[in-house]
Amino acid sequence: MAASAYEHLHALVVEDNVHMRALLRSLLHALGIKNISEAADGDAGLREMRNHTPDLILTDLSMEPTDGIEFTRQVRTSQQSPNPYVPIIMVTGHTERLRVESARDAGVTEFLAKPITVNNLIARLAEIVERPRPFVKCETYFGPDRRRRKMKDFTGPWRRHDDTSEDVEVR
Amino acid sequence: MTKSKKTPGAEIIGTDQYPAMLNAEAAEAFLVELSLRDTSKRANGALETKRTQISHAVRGYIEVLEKAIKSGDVAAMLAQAHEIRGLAANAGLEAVGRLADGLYKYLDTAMRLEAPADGDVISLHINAIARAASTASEAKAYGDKVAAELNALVAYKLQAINRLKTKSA
Repeated sequence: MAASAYEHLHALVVEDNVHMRALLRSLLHALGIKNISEAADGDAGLREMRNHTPDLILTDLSMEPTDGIEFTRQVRTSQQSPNPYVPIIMVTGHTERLRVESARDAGVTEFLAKPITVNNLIARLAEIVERPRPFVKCETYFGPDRRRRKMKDFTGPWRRHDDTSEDVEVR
Repeated sequence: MTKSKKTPGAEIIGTDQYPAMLNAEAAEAFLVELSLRDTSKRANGALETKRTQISHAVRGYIEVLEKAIKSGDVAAMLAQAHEIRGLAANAGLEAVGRLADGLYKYLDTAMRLEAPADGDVISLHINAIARAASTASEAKAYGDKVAAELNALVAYKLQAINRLKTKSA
């Protein structure tokens, strides 16, 4: 299998700290992703997306003036978004757990906890490639299906009228 | 393939109904690359190289934080605490990250509620951060313990600020 098959893969790193940006760039490069754009906050990330539409985004959570949650929301729902389905991995600190739920509700695909490790990053990338998730579109949410873990014995209550235990995956 | 279905409240868009990140051949090649020991080794090498740079950067931020504290510039303290909390863990300085996060939360809340920041809380944090960032072998255990204690202090102080603001509202 030729490595060139994925050489066009383009990642966007949105992170306000120059050292963390460099770390993420280095890691992605070492994992085989050669086309990497960078942005220092959510607004710059959206502008960068219009120049080079990424296949994958890694974003920090806490940034000024536009944080990772608002950035994700814009990517998913803005009419100007070049690809509302792009996988988004959010990098979070252990102390930001309370905000993770908001990020998930904004449409984040995967979370990568700090400190960043190679194994964790590989696992998140593999998850995105191996198990892409259906998207859910409703009045209050547009993004990847937030239910992940199969609950074979789950008997309800159902959130969707035609749900069955085969459908239900709970994160 | 995910079955597409329409329900009154939500539309489910199957994975075959939107553009894939990679086509099947590229996805397979990328997964093979990710699974290789050489890939993992190369990435760990990159991480290790950056760890030293990040460690130096964190120590630089701590110095700037100390200067900001001396000059009483709360906005600068907040900015440095933010940089430290985001980076420290990847330099192997987890306790420093937790301490900086505690300081950040305290200063952020005090600023937002326009309450004066307690100088003792700030001093305790910067002293603990500086000590936990030292290369001494006891720094980690010390840092973990002090981070837990100072987090409790920050929670207490934030409650006090909130009580005060609620009363005056």
